[in-house]
Amino acid sequence: MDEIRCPMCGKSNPADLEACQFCRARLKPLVVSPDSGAQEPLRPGVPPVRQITSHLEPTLPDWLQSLRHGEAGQPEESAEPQSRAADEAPEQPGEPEDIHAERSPEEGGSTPATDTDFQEWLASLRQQEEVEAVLPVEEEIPPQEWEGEARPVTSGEGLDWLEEMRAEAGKVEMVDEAQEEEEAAADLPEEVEEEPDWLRRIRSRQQTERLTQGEPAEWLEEHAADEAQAPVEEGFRRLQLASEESFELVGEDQPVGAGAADTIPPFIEGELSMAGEPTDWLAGVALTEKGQAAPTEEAMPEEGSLAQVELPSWLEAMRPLEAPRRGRPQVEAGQVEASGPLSGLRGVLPFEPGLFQTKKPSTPEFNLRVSENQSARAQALEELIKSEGVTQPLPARPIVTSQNLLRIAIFLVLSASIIWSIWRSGSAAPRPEFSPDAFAVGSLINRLSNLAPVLLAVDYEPALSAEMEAASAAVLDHLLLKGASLAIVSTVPTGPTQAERLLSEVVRRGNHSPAVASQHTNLGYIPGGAGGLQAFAQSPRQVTPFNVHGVSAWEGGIMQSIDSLDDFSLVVVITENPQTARAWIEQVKPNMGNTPLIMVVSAQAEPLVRPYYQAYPPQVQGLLTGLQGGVSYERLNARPGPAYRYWDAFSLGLAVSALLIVFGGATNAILAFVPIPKRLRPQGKA
Amino acid sequence: MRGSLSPIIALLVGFIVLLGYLLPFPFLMEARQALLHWAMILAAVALIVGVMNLALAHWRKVATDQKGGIYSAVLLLSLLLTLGVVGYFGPTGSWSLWLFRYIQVPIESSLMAILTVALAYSAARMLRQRINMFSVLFLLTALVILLGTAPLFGIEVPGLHGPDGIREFLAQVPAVAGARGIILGVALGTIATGLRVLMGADRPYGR
Repeated sequence: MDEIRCPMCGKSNPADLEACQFCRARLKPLVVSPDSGAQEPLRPGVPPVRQITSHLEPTLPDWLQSLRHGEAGQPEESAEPQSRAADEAPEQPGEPEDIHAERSPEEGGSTPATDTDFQEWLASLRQQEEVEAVLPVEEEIPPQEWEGEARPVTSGEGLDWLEEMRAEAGKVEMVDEAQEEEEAAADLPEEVEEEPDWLRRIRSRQQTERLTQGEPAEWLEEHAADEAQAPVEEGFRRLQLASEESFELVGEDQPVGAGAADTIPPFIEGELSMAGEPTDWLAGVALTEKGQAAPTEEAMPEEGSLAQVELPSWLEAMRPLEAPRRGRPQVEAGQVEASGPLSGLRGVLPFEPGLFQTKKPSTPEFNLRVSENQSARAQALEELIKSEGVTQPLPARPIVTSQNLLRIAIFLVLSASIIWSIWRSGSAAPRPEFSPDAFAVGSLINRLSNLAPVLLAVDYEPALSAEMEAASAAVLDHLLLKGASLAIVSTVPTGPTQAERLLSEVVRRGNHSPAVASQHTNLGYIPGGAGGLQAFAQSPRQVTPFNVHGVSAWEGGIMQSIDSLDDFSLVVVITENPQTARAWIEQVKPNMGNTPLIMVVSAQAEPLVRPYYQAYPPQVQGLLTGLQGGVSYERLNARPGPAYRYWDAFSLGLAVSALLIVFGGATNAILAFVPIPKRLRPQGKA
Repeated sequence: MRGSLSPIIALLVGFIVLLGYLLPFPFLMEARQALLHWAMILAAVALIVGVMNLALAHWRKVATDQKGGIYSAVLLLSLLLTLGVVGYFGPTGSWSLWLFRYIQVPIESSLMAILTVALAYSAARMLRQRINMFSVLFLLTALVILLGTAPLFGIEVPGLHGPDGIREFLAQVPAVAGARGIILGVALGTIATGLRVLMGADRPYGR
């Protein structure tokens, strides 16, 4: 990864940063002159390109030109390689490494400036009357940076003025640190951050209290004891003096200038920085000492702001009149704090005008000119919208209508025919002959041996129990006559109870012994629909381990010999639902082996089950449908049952229903072609 | 992550069950069997949750004194009574059978009887609402099936009743042909739906 070295603090930074991540100094120049188009920072692995900079020689200061031309006594031969190396290196003014490269004789640089030269130059500096600019604030080095790199100055001769300035600057520094501890706990030095938060807060509070009460801080006492060996009172007096001076610097609207840095050679700046002396306070103190008026605030460009230009007329017209001016508020120069610790200071707490809205925004008033007609329409629309949310009571429908009369008539006719058929209790209608379907079912049951295990699925709803019981009663009666041992399951929650009811009715009507009826095992309800049937077909013992009484179902009687469905001799499914019939045929039948499957279904499910019965090879070996199939099977067994008794009422009811549909349909068809007078039409009909 | 977990589980389970049918590996068959058992348990739990939700909804209706709250109260009372009786005497106990025989079966059979009257009334008024070829054909087919299922006032009409009658022809040829088409369509639709679920195109289990 490419790195770039900060010209101010000398630390390495990623090449893509604009400012130093340690001291926030700018790493790349804002304006690149056409002559310095190739002045890119030296990157690792990239060989420097030799540049001709001889035309820049006249722009150098005299002292530097004299140094370069060997006024220090160095031969021309030795100075030439160094100047060439300086030309080849990227031009980074103020970089400490460059300064050391010039001053270090071990590295083949030019001869360092002697102390005499130093004094002369500094003397001229001190006598300089005017300072062209002040140091930029954003290039200020944080105290923790130069404090960590501080080292004693070895060449102390001739630096008396520097020692004085350092002493005074130390006062300012101490006051600044005390203020920073109160204002920003995050900017504390690392050794303080290692302490717990609560301890740091307590210490900061104690120091603040001591400062407000006129007592010096602990660190000030230690600093004074270590360095100056001065009494505490003297340190506190120096602190007060430094505080007053620092307030004077800031409070008098005389910000630290940036032009002084131009008057100090870069190597001096670096030397001072490495010696632990900040360059900004040096410039500021120099200014105050000389009494030089700093540039006014108006002359200072505001940080991050753009030059104010005149807005175009169209943009000026778009600006809202009530909108507050955005941006940084203008600080009134004459605003002086009247109370608190900042009492007497001017302009230290800028007021933000946009924070509080003291005036309620005015709402525009519209004066619409509407006519009476328009107003009436608007009012009508408003009432219409309001009425949408109010529920309107439905108009009361008459109890006696033609539709209700027709329904009641159909009900009375059907009921009368059925009641008359039951009251007559005779066999008025001829019973159907036994069908081939019934004969096939009878043949399968007749093949069963005594106590043959038969799986019986009762999968119909109680609503259709009349038809299904009539259709299946004869089959169950036949099974009980053959002495089959029944195992009952169901995929309907009411199926187990339905099966018990059906079996008890068949036993009662067929005069079977209770012992025969007690031979069955009710395995209960199989949840999961088709998935449950699939699981049951694969492992019936695991899916239904207990019967409805909670007793193990597979340990006693004939069930001991059952491990899978093909161990059953016959499977009988009674259902009115074609989907349930499909599930049994598709999910269970493949796991039954050669065990035959008989379906007793309602008349409505016959069309969907018959294809499986008529397939080749048939997936359903026996099919019995509806009441007609039940009557046919009862005739086959010559044991009349409920289907036989229901047949008269069933046939009469069907005939009456057909006649009602014929007469009703014909009447309504005629009425559909005959126009009805409007007064006779029912409400709501066109 | 939460949104993609459900499809992953569904696809994994679907493929395991499907491969259990196709590949004769014992572990696949055992995994398929275990998953089917889980599905049964979940279905049973869903049934219980449904009953609880029904009871809770009607309880809210009773507690907030809404319109028709008396019917909700009857439902809750019936539910508690049935639970108590069946829970105490068992599903095949005498009192359980009594409740089933004299309350549940008559009520549901009465609803079917009402359906008979409603169907007859609708068939009678069908020609008044819509008269076209298909409505007339539908009505004629229904009449033939009704009249041909049982003797007409004790009289069997030749050509209408019996194994060679028009009723048996309609029930076993056109009706079965249509049923075969329905079954084939259901099978193809089931395959397509299963493949879409296995590929993640359909997510009926929600997000």
